[in-house]
Amino acid sequence: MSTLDSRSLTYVNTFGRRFGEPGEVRYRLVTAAVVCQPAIDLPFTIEVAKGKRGKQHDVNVHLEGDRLVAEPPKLSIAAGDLVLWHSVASTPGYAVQGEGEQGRFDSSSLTSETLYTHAFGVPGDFEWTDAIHGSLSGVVKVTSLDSGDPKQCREWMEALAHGTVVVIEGDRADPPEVSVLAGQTVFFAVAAAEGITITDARLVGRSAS
Amino acid sequence: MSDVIAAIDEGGANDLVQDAEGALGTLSDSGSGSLGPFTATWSASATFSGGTADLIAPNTIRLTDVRMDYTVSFSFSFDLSSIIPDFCLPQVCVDIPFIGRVCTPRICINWPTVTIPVSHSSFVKFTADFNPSVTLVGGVWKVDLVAAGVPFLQLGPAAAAIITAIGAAAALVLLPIPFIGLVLAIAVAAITAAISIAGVLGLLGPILSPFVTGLSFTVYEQSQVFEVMPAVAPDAAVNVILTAITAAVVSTDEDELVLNIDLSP
Repeated sequence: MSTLDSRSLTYVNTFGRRFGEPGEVRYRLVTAAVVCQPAIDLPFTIEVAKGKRGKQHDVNVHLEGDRLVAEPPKLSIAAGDLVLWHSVASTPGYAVQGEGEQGRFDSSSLTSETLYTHAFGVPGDFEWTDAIHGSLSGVVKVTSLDSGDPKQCREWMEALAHGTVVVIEGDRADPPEVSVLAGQTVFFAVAAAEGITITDARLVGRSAS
Repeated sequence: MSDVIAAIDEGGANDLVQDAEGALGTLSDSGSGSLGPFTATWSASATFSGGTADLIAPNTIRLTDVRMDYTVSFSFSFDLSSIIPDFCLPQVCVDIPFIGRVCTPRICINWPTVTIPVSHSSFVKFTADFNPSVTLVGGVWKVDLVAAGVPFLQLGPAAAAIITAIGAAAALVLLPIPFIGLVLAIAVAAITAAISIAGVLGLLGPILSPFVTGLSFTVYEQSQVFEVMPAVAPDAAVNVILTAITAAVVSTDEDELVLNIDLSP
């Protein structure tokens, strides 16, 4: 599936978080169906050392048997680094939940200095909203070119490497409306928020169309 | 000398054949077969109409331009990955002021298995030689005209139309698949190229040919025993038995289909 919903991460999504303070962070991976459960089993670790590097660290999420696992399971990063979780097509929808000395974080409730990306696979107008509060919304207009036309196809392929950024601050998305080509990725970067989602408005019955 | 001799000319034969075509109704069949590299499940139906009879002694009724109207519905499933190459979205990097430079990994698409349904209705005209065949089954005499050999069906135009229909149906099925738009034209072209006109003919021929192979029109049907009422009372009704019937095309002043019937009281 490739539904626009930050509460359930799939292979067309990534979730990123910047860890600004040193200390140990432990986290787990849960399927979207069991997001709400006690925080007792946090098998994966991120050691955040002092320093300011701003480097990116990728974590691959995949199934081993019936368990979601992170690769690598233990990360050592510097304060200010970004950790980006991603998966492959066979991975079921999941969420990343963790806690450290600076508090808890949860990919299904995006807070400051987190990031959710979505590669849009089909053309259409996608109204999105915050499924928790409902005061935040925006639109992504996805169009396609003619893949049978060599010139348009070439333009299309080149465009795939370019991303579009939407910055979210409080209940404001900037820009509120973006236009992309099918296959392009939109980066929803949360500058400041107290737990929001990026969710296709149709999933929560708030679509205007 | 037969007790009854019935003869019809070519005009009469035309009427008989057209009545028989109507009485035959709709023939239908279903099964599975090869559609190029794929396996298709299909169902088909056919009706017959028209045709001009030419009586050729001693034993041939040639029907020219018989029209077979048919509908063929079929569907085939296949793993899209076997048709189109794996596709990966490239790494995407952006600069975000409060986070820094972020790059997503490449995203490789797993194409799903799809089922493409196609329905095609058309007609084809053919010419075939028929032989009269007389049978007595279950106390009923029947005179049938039975197709001799395998009539040739010109299916090339239909195959070309079906290839186009497959392309349109494939595009409809593929369109909702995420990211397919990037390779949609390639995918549709790959599917139709894999099947080809020859592939469609390979499916269509074995579906439609059985409808005309051994095709049989019943032009005369009569109980072996039937009651004849008296012309004048008080004579009793009597049963007449048809003991023998033969059918042949006879050429005298004109060509005729002749039935010779022997009776016994």
